[in-house]
Amino acid sequence: MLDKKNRIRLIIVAFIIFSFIFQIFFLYPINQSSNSSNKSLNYFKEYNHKKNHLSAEESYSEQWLKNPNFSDTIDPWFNRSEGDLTDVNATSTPGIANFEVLGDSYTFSNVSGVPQASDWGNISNPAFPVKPDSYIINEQGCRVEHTWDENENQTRNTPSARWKRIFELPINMSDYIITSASLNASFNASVETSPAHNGIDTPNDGISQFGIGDYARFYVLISDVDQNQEYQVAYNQTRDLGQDTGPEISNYADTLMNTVPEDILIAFLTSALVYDNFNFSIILGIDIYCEDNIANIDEDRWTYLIIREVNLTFTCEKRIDQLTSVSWNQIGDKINDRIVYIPNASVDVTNATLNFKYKIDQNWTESSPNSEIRILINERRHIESKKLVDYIYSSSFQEAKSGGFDVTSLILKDFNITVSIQVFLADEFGLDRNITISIDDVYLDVSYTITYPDKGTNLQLFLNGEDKTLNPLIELPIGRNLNITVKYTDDIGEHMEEAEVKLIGEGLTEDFTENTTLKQFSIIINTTEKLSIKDNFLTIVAQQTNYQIRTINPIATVRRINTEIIAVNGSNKISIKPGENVNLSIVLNDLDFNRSIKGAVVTYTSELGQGVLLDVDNNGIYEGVIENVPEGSYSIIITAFASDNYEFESYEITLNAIRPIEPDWTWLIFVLVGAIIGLITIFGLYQLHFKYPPMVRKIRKLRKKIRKGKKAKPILIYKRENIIKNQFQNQLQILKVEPEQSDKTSKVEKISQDIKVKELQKEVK
Amino acid sequence: MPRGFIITKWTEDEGLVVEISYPEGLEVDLDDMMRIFYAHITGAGEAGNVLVRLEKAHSNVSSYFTGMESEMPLMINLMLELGEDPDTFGEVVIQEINDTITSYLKQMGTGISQTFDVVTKLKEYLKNALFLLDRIKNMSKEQRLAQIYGSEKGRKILEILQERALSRRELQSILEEKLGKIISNLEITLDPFIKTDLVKQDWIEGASDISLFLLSDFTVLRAPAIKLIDEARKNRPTPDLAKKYLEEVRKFFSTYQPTFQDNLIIAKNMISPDKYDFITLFREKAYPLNKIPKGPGSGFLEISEILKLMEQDHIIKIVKDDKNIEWIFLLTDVMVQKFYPEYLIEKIRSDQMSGKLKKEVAIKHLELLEQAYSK
Repeated sequence: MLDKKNRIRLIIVAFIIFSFIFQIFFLYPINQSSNSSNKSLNYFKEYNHKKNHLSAEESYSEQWLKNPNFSDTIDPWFNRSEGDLTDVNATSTPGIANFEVLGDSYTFSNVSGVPQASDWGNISNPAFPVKPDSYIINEQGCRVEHTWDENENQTRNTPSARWKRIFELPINMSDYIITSASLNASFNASVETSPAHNGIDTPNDGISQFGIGDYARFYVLISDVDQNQEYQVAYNQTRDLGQDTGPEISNYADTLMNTVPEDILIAFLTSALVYDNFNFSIILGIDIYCEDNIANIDEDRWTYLIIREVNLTFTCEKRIDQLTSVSWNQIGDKINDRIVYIPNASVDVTNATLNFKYKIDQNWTESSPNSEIRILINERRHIESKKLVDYIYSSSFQEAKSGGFDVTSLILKDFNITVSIQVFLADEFGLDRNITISIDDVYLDVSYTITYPDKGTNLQLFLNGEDKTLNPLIELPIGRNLNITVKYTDDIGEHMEEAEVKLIGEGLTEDFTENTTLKQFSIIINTTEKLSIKDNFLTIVAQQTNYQIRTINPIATVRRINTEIIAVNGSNKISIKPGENVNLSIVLNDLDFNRSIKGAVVTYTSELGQGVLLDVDNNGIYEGVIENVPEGSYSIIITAFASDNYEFESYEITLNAIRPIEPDWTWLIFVLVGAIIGLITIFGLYQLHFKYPPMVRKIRKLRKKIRKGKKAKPILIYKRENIIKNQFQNQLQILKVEPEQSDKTSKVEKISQDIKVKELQKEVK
Repeated sequence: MPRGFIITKWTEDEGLVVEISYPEGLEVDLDDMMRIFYAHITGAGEAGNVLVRLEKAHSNVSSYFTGMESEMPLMINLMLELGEDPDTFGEVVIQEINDTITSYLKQMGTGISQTFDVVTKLKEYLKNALFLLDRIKNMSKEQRLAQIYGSEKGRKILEILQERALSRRELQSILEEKLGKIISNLEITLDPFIKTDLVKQDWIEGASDISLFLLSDFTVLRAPAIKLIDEARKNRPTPDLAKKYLEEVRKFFSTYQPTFQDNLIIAKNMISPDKYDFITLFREKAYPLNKIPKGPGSGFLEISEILKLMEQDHIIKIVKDDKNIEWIFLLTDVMVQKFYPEYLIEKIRSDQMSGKLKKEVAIKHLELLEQAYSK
């Protein structure tokens, strides 16, 4: 196996051998004419397609996880649990990592047989606080005796006896589920049936003063310790006990009470244990009802009433909380660490497969059909999982999935790859035993490709000898040659010999010529032949194998030749007397190439007429005559045309044919100027000073003095208190027109004015 | 807008415990509460106010602590938005709310039913207090000026700037010295001064801080209610009422002299949204007691209670007509009067001449005063 350093060296060599050129992006100028732009664009697309390169690539496959077999030590694996931490545990032995789901069971059977006096304590029934004549627990059970004689005490007709026992459970029932429960309770009784006024009166005793008759009620209650809520789970209320005849019923043999169904019993027990998860109580009770059936002499004799036996058992299992999980995890390397020493290289994960084996020490419980083994990569869950309920017990490990789980999409290049195998308990259920799930041979096979970039290059552009790399624009007149030179160099500035350098434009593809001495590539473009009078959008493409392609997009703006029309004597003003002839004599100058233009068509127009100026001597001077010019001032416009390559602007000559008149109005101008200056001065003074209120003028004056550093005299101004006084007095003015107040108001005014005068006098002093 | 109240108490056994939070859904972070508590007890742990900024909760908290020595150390926290300052509502209003909450909490006894009743009433009060604070945020310019006058900090700032223009740092330093406490956010404190055009902030070339220039001044005072007087002269609403009303007004103003204490009463009345609504209402005309339009704040304090307080403060007068119907008249129109601080011009001159004021500051202040006069 190659170590990491050697592997990287190998990668670099491979990079040098296999690097390619990548695709060109051509930025196409937006203001080019649509036809030409489309043509050029199509051309470049085709060109780029042919030259499209791929960079060098190297593919690798690695098993990413350390200690996949949990041999000797568990490192670097670590476990994590969430949810109810008492429900799960993670353990390991050499070669195996385990997830334990911790179940448990408990059976309650502390209530059985005849109640013992040492276990049960007597309590009151808050609804019927009167106690019977006798209420004890003996070897027979909970025994009550009672005689009610209405002549002795009418109020003792509803006695009740209760016995309570508190049970403390060894487990916290909030973490357990009761799965089964059973209860039975029995009683017996004996009463006197006759004579009627001394016996128990029942419906068949033929008594006229009868409501519901005398009865006894035996019952069992379940409640929390403080009896916040009591649930009756067994009972029997007598109806015919004490029947006089047909047949006489003076006693009940051992008889079972009616009990609630099992699921109701479970619900009541669960509810009673909500108040206190460890303790609950059972209450045994006998209530007696003696109805007054015979006026003034009724007496009911209950010989004995006994709760004989009570048996309660229930079984519970450990409650496994929903969403509890336990996982084994390992933080692996970062994919991008594989290219940390290779500048500009990039890495792509092509495949990642996770394999592991697992077994369970028994078939999974049917109570939790949704629990499963999950795979998480960097806490992102893989879509596939293993349902635990699908597992069929075998003593040997089996593959979680044949061929492994494809986790490629979960691999993040910039983060350490954290693999988690998690047992996730998706249901709440009861579990009476431990179940152990084991895993082994956890492998994460990662395939990745490293892509290497092309070597860097630079391209420098010179247009007619000027470095235009950063601003590749040039303007030149038609007819002047365009010299394009580029320097195509590698990263360290070395000339790229035998590189392919092309100039591409509209209908134009030219190869540059290499000059190995000057280490540059050049081409000379005849603007007349190769370019047009407009903005010519060009592209220079420079490329060399294994090096970056470089392009640059110069714009050559070819324009018409600049010219000027001037009079031969240099002046565009001609003065003559009316009736004289005037000679027009002009030359056309080529300003770009500094020569006169011959063979042009030169015309003039004015209100005196129009005509042609001719270069009769072919010396570049165009001449013509306008005869007998009448008095007046005229504008003569000269225009010229040579060919489409020249840009002419018309030339204007002013012709004055006037008689000289000499009146002198200078004095008037002086008077007017003087008057205007006077007005401006007055206006200025007003604007600067007098238009402002006195307060502003004071401020301005003070500011001016401060600015000039001069001493300023105190300013006469109201103090703050006086301003407020005045404000107040002004507000009171409203009352002054009141007849009763007129004197007072005038006094107020007077006082106010006095204050002002005194204040000002004080300030002046 | 204020977000709510969180009231906590400190006990030796349980430490800091949240007693009441309103509204119900207002999140309480006990760590944050501890932060505020520490801000209070650092030092002597005396009663007082602090303003704490809680970045995590995006809140400012105006907190009042009754002190470690009090019978039941309580912390009343008004939860504000970040950047919101309790000064916006005025220290008088906040103090009144804190006092009322404290009095409610003192009524909470040991009996469950008694406590339940007090908590119910307190929650109703907290609801109304939040409504009141919300209304205060939308005060008129006149009310804002009254609020400045009603606040000790506001009056001190005004007094300081009536002397001369200062940089913000200078003002903060003088203010902290005069008040004897740290001013944490001067910008918010100055906000009402800027918004009411009393003060302009400007920068003088070469200076390292912004300077503050007083350009307008004001006072609060009582004046006769012009419209009501005019109406009374026309024997309205009735000749009998008009005569009685004019007599009352004359009687009051024959002895009235503005005093600082009375001015504070005026400011307090103007800051209260409920009372201010009535002042603006009664400026226009007198109303029979049973026909007063119901204002937006009538749910907070009963109308009769408000009017009673206003009568005690000599703002309104209840006058009975010949049918024994009670009429409400505005006895004194309480108002804020702005005026141009011309006295500053002479102060600038003398301070500059004596070297107390820099030339550049003096010129800038004069320029701004000139602009302010022209407005």
